[in-house]
Amino acid sequence: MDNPVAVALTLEDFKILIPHAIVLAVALLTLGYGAIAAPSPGRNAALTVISVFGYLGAIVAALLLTGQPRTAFSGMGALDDMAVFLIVVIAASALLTVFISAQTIPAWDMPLGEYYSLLAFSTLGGMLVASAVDLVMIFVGIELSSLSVFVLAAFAKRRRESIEGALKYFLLSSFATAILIYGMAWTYGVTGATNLNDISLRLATYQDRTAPTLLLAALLLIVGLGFKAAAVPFHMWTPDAYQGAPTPVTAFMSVAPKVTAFAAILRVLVQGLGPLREQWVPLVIVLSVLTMALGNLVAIAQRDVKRMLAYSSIAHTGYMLVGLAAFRQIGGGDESIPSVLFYNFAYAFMNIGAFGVLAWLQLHGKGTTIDDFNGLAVTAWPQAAAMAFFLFSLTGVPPLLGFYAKYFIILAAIEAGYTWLAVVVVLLSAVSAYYYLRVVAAMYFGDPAGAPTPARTRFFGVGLGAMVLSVALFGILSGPVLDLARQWYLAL
Amino acid sequence: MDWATIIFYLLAAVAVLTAAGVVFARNPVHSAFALVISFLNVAGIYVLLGAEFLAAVQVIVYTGAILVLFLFVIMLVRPEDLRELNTAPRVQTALAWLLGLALFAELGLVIATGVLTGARGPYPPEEVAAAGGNTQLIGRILYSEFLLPFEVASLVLLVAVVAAVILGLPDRFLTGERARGLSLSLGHPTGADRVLEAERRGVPAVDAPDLGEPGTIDTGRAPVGAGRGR
Amino acid sequence: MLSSYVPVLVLFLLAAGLAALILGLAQIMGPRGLNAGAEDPYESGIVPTEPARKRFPVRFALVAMLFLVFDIEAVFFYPWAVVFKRLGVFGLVEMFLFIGILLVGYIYAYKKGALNWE
Repeated sequence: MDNPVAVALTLEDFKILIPHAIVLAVALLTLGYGAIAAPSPGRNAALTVISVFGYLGAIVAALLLTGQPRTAFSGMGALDDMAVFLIVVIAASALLTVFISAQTIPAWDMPLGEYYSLLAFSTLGGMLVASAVDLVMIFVGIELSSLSVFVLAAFAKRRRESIEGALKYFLLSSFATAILIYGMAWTYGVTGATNLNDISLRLATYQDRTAPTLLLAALLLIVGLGFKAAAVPFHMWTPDAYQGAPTPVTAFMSVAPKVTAFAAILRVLVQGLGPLREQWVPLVIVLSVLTMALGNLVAIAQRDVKRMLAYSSIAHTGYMLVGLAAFRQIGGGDESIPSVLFYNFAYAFMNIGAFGVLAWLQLHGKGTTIDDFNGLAVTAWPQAAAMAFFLFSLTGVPPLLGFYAKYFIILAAIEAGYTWLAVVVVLLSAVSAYYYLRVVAAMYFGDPAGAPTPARTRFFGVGLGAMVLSVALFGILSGPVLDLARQWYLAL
Repeated sequence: MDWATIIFYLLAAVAVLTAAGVVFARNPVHSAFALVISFLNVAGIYVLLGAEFLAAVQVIVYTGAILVLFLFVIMLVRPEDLRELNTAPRVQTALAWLLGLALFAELGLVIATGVLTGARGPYPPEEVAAAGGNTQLIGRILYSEFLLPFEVASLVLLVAVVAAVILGLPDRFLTGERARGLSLSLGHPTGADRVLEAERRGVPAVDAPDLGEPGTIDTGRAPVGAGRGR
Repeated sequence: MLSSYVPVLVLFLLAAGLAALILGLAQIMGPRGLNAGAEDPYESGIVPTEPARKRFPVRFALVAMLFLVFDIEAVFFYPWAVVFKRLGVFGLVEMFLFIGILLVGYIYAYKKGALNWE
């Protein structure tokens, strides 16, 4: 009776968790140090240094661990190359967020230690999802990621909109989680496995892939994950949550949870339910068209730039879903998943950049409406130029990063035979030019409405500069990055 | 029909009826109590399925702790603040009904037409019996095969603690600027000690910070949705 | 299988019977015709001046939340305890890691003064 339980764990297993362990260390250190030390500029600087080097370390560690796809922890996790790509994107978005938060959060009287800690926990959750090969692991990873973001969204708890947005996000997200876990339960019930590779193997042997039970499982999973990625019609929480949250948080939550959601989508739909492709692709197409259309059209009507960027982030989810819809089979050499991966990568830099300039404005005593951007080119030309740069990239103007992201998506759609979908992407991108360029027009042709009040933002400026450089540099290097994405995806 | 089937239908019927009661009850306290009964019946179904551990957890965590928390929160919020929960726009209510019924029909259709004999999982009843029972098998698997999710669960709980502290504590605790002094607690958080401490610092008692205010969501003053449309 | 739950059923029946008995006896033997004063909440003999249901400080909810988290933590101990011998040292280490992480949360809450009424 007392025979020991066999636990097959070696040191090799822990190797795949090195990037995660570094981010966990950041979370615990910032939490502990922030709670023990009295608030002072020195403490805040130390917290920022811990975060910056932690995320850099995690990125480097992940990159060093490429090329050895192996599963570990009894098939719970794997650090295959797709995981590495997604981990790098998520950790990079956290790193960029640190740059735009370091001076804003203390200036707004919010506790910096807790802030960095929750940021790290959310990042860790996303990284765990990226390297998960089991439904249970994906579930706890998503929970860790979104639970931290709920709190971050409510971080400005004295402002009613912050609490209201966070509450909506929390309630709807919990609802979505319930649907997601119900879908996982059905999947387990039908296939008898929670490991995604096992699920895929068993589904491949099924004769009748249109069995109602299978369809229901896929439907519930798509709805649950669609909520997390803010796809229409599951986007209701997005505008209020994004607008209510402090702007650096909005920057983070418009990228990291979305990349996390796409990591889960790639794992669950592609790696797990890949054999059901013909059943879920039509659904994804419908979602993508709805998402692109609503995101872009409603964004036009927004006077508040923060809210406009919220709707535009919904639209970008739509573009990514187009790439997903072009999926044919794993290792089939198609461009679909590499294009989705590349889009996530590109989106992280330009979107956090745009929100970053917005946070910079707020730090300098301005609001977030389009009128606050009037004449910014005169009063603060570097920030105006950076904002214009990010907005051009979000629109998809060549040769910036955002252009290549859309280009690869369109290419993947045409290759898969969805030419009309590619046309929709182009048309709605043209629509998006209207609301993005309106901000640019306000900055360059509007009358300056008073200079921004001065504030200490050198570190902030470094972050914005880094993002501008990345958007330009990775635009030029888009070929190699996409090759990397392709190669890493093929290693799946 | 054997006994197990009869008991199952009994438990299921009560669980469904009380779950409906949760939604339709006007008084939130009645809703919470209906949920208690529903959860207990679900626990009974778990027992029927041989998932004793889950049944125990259902009673300990859900009925024991979470529902007590529900009642607690209902008690904390003034009843007149809850009125707006019942005043959703008519269109919204209709849409909710429509979608809910659609999902219900979908599930019904799948259960009625679908072949419900899914694949055999890795842990059939024989395996459970061989392991010495439900709890033993869960322990064996959770702490070996599912080790990683188990440890991540502790992180989720840690974030929950941090979240509760950040959202529940007044700001001055978080930014660490509170004056640490001896205060005689009379057991009531907004009681005499608060006033005494304020007077000690030379602040008129009337202007003493209300301990309850910062973290409290007072839903009473503006309708939900006030942040919309800008 | 199901027969092993007969004692539980008997317990339920006894509990229900006892409750019914007590309520029934109170109904039969208790005094009738109470005056309005007997239905007031007992306030140490002081006449109530305001309704008892006003808004409570949110810190009560904070304490309840903390309780809930550690309650869930405790639930993880049950399946661990029954297989502890078979897991050996490894089981001890993983549970210590689990508790250690939650201990960080406890220390944090303590440091922030969430556990004492000032």
